[in-house]
Amino acid sequence: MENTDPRLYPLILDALAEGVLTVDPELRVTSLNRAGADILGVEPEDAVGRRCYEIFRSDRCQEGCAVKRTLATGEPLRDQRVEILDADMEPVPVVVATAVLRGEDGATIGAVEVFSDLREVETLRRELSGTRSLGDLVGASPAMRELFRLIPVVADSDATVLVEGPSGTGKELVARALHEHSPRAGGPFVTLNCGALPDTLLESELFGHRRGAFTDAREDREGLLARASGGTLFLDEIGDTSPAFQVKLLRVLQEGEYRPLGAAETRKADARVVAATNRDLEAMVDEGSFRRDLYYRLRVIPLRIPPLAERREDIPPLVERLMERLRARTGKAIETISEPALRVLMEHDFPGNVRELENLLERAFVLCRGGTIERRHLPPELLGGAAAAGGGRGLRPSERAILAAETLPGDARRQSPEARKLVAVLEAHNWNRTATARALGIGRNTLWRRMREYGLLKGGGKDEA
Amino acid sequence: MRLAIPLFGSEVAPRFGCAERILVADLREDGSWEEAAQSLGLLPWPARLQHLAQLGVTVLLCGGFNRHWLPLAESLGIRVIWGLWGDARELISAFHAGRLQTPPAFGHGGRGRGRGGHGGRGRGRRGPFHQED
Repeated sequence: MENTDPRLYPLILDALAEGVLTVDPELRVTSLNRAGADILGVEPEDAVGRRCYEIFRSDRCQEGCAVKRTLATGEPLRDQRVEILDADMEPVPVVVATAVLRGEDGATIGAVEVFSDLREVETLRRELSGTRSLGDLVGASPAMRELFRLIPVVADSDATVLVEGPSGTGKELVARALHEHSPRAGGPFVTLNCGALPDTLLESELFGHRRGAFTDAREDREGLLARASGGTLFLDEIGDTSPAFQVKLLRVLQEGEYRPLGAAETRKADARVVAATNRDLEAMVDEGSFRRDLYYRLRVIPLRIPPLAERREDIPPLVERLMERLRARTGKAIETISEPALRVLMEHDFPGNVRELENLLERAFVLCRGGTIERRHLPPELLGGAAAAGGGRGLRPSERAILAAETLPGDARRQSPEARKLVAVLEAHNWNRTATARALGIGRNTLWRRMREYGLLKGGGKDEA
Repeated sequence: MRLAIPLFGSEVAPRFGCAERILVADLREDGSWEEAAQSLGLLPWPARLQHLAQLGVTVLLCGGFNRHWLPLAESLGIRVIWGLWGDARELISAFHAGRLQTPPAFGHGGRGRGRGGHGGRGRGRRGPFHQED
């Protein structure tokens, strides 16, 4: 470059495929090349003078900024994967390298950030690995690929959809994807967990009520059906509803009308209904605990999400996606997971499905101090043998301290067989206390007392989701 | 009217989804407002939006806002004005005075949308707040 005319530098920079952005020590942009402007969606002349985080908007800008680190240490950084938001607020994955800029006297005059758009690379990689994604859903298995094929097709109609699958598989994500690909995407997406409420409250929540309809009805209240007007109503845990409620819901689906509690007139419903259940509705119909006519009304289009254990090929892309989200959420620069750690996850049965995987990775993010999640960052019970008995053995002293701070004092109580059984049932019911108490054949108060005893309540452990 | 603005020091945060603190302001008709800072911590999506709705927030002024969550914000009755930068309180004042430009709807127009900043503070920054059309 020594013999190159400096007047040619802007032309050379503009010929590059990578974005190149320079900043002064106060993070004000001093130049931006053409490719960088295209990736960010901002013209170079509009970028110059602004702080880099105002146009870069990466998930690391607020915590863990590579440019700041380079300016502070003088050390270059490479292969920093971040997600930026372009001017359209579209998330764009990019890989970043930074280096300090020095003047002729050796003093720091700023930093340069080189960044490449990874969208095309990631699309090609997904194509090659067979991984597909839709909204927040991701998977490479035939079952998930079929789901991704069906969702946009099904979304186009107003037909009722029943999403079936065990707890933690992402039924709400399917419902949300249906909504977002439907002509109703501009309308609201409203969720009602039918298993969480007693009958009267459920009706009031769904249909709304008039003042005086019942003792506590001090004013008119709009129901979720009205709030979902023009959009999608997601009815989760539909299998937990009573026969009396099922009749009322059937009327809405058949006649498109409902009556708020205490109201004289009926109202028109204008919401697409997507229902979900983790129960075997067909068996419930056969045994008489779920109405057959409602079952067929709901199951106009059935979509099934298999348990994670039946689609282990989805684990690597899910881990990648979940780590991406955790990086954004925690600001931690944890880029990869080691092969042995991934193997442990691939061999685990995941009774809690994707939610359990998410929890495991969240725990690993808390413990991990480096850039790679290792086997030792996973719960001992997954590792088997001596590690399982060790509870944190293999962790470095600093990581053990974090584990202790995260898990004690309730941890010992939570490790008892009774507590673990209780956690398993809670997990199976999405930490819904009503459904858990029903499954265990105990009252909600008894369940609460046991949760408190085992340190599973807020402040002493995990609370209801 | 109650509005919220994610904080990055005293400035609006570059990304709402990563902001750990918000400033909640109740606007009065005389142009003043009452404010309180709140912690959002590491609250994930969509809970951070639902939290705003529970607080009764109807306007969110922010830098970056992942467009994926815009329909949810709308369904929760929260109007999002994005692409902003600069001092958080100056932005509240500009919004209160009707001087914040409402960004064009997603999915229209070409590259460079969201430009035409709302800042106006500090060396090298361009122009004052824009007049709403």
